[in-house]
Amino acid sequence: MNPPRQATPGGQTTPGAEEAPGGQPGSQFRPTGAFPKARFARQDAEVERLTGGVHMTKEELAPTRGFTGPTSMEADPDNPRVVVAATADLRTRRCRLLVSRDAGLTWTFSKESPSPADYPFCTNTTSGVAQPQVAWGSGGTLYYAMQAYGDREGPRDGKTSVVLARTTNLGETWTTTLVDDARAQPDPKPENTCCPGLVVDSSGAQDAVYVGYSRDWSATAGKDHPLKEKQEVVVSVSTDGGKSFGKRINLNDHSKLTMTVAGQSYPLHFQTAFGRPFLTAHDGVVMAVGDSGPPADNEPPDEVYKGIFGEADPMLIARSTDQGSTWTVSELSSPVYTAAGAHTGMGWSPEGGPDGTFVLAYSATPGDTSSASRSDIVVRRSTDKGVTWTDPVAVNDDDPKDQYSNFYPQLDVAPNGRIDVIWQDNRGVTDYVAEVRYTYSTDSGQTWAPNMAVTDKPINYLGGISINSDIYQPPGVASTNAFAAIAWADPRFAGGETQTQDNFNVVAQFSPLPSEDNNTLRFFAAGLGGLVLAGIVLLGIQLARRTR
Amino acid sequence: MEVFGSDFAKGKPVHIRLDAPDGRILYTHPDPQPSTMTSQFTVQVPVPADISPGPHVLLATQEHYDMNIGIPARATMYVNSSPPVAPLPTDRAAVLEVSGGPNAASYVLIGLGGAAAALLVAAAARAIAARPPSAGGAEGVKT
Repeated sequence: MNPPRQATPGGQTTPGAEEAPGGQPGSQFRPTGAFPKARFARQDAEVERLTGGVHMTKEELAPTRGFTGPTSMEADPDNPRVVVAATADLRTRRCRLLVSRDAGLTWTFSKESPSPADYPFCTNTTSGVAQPQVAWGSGGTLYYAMQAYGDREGPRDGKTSVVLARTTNLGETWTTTLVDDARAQPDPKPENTCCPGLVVDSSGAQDAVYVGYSRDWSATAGKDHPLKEKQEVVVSVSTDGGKSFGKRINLNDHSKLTMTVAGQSYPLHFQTAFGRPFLTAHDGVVMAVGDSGPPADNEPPDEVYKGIFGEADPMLIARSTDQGSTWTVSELSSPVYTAAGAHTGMGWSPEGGPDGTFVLAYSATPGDTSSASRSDIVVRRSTDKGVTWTDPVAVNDDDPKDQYSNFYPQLDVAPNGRIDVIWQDNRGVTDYVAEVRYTYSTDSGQTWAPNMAVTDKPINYLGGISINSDIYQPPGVASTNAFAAIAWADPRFAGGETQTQDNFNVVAQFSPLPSEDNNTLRFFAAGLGGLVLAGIVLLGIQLARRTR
Repeated sequence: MEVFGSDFAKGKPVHIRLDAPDGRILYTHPDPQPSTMTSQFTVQVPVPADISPGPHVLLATQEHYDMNIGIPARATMYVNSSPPVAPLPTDRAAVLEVSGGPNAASYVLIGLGGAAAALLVAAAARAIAARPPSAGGAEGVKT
């Protein structure tokens, strides 16, 4: 199924170049450790068809367009031909909704932007997480969560708010709610960094909507202000379908975990550096996941702690069963390195037991390794509503001795329980190039399909806007029973000056789409024909009797 | 040959190796600067005298933890040869398969089923209508 890879242009030796005697053996190379592999096996469904690349953002013609990766995308549960994706233009700083009505083969932007007029901008300086997010609720409602700010506000100035927009007509019109309004806060204003997490639980009478984001005051608090080093990882909850939100909950206020460094005990908190937390919910259970470290305002000294990027710390999980009022925070993993970011794809499958299966996928390197370089896509499963989790297994099937990096996972679950996991890696490519790879499971994550590369051509990140400030986003996946639509940010049209960056997608099809033809009239006609036939038979019997 | 590197962690040497993560070291850059997010270096890497012609991969390794994912970094070089012509990409589907819906035979069966049902109803109605009146019914008046 994999198309041939294009050769990456490289250098050439030139006549007269200096020749080394043969190179030095040098210090021994110690390969980075790896997680145990998942079991790979043939699944109950197979990809029957993989489309070519589809240019999702082609309606935007500005050469300087610079779209974020469509990390958050979902199919309409009531009409799986409809797929939506949240994206943002890093140049204009505006959020957009992409809509497909034909299972991902063509896309348009929604008629109206989801942003309110007085908070027109939405992009931030996070990396490795979604910027805006979408999620379907009940009654055909689509929710869109984003950061929100205006002029003289924003990630560099501090003072950013969070907005939830709702539409029932694919973005023809929107209704917005302020989730967290920085303008209404006393000075120094907070920077609310959103939205790594958005999830909707439709199990109740009204949708419960959970928005995950982080807060800090580093840009607005004075040097000695008590808020200068403070950071929060929060969830805001709406129990009325997004019309209003209650008081935000700082997950770290519920953590009783500690870590010991050089004999000293420190609190172990969710960390915020690139946007946290990641959320999932189903049937009254909501969970938040992220990587950890000591509080920013209570860190161990540099001599004994190399910071959250230089140390292996555990992933954390917070769980609530009362719509976010109280949370239990525990360690999800042993210490790991998350040098590629801790973005976690999360979902729930109806398969795997009476309570179904929660499933997570994140990128990590084992904590007892020699360097943070290569990483695996680690999957965990829970069949008891998130209380306990299986040991981590890697669903990337490359050989660890090749030392490839697998990062930026995303996950979605089709209504029939098929779990789709995608990520980016540098398997078999060189330079600043990556591909999107895909695996799936039809047995609730117990076995996985052999990996397949799905990008129609490798992604060369040297050209696009994301390389400017290291602002990247994971790819996105929307899962239906018949297909998985997989999308990513792609700078294939970038010129030296434009740094053009678009969204592209492919569709991996498992089974035929249902016919769109209206067969009702045909069924009616067939039935009517049968009645007419019966009438003719009865009339014939009556005539036969009279002539006797 | 000239080799450019960027975004390596500062503080630890970068080894540029030949053809494998544990291949022989051709060059060592001692300490990328100024920082992990902004480090860059351009160096002249000697090419071994015994290298075979054709494509080779340079791998840059670094033993360090500080946001330096993606190590080993890789770059391709061609010794006394040129990059191959890129193969034409395999054609992929441009459309998705759609179910054709019920076929003509299905509609005929639906019609016949409807006819059979209607005839059964008619036969049942005729059978009910033809039953003799019950014994306890009123008798005609005798004159």
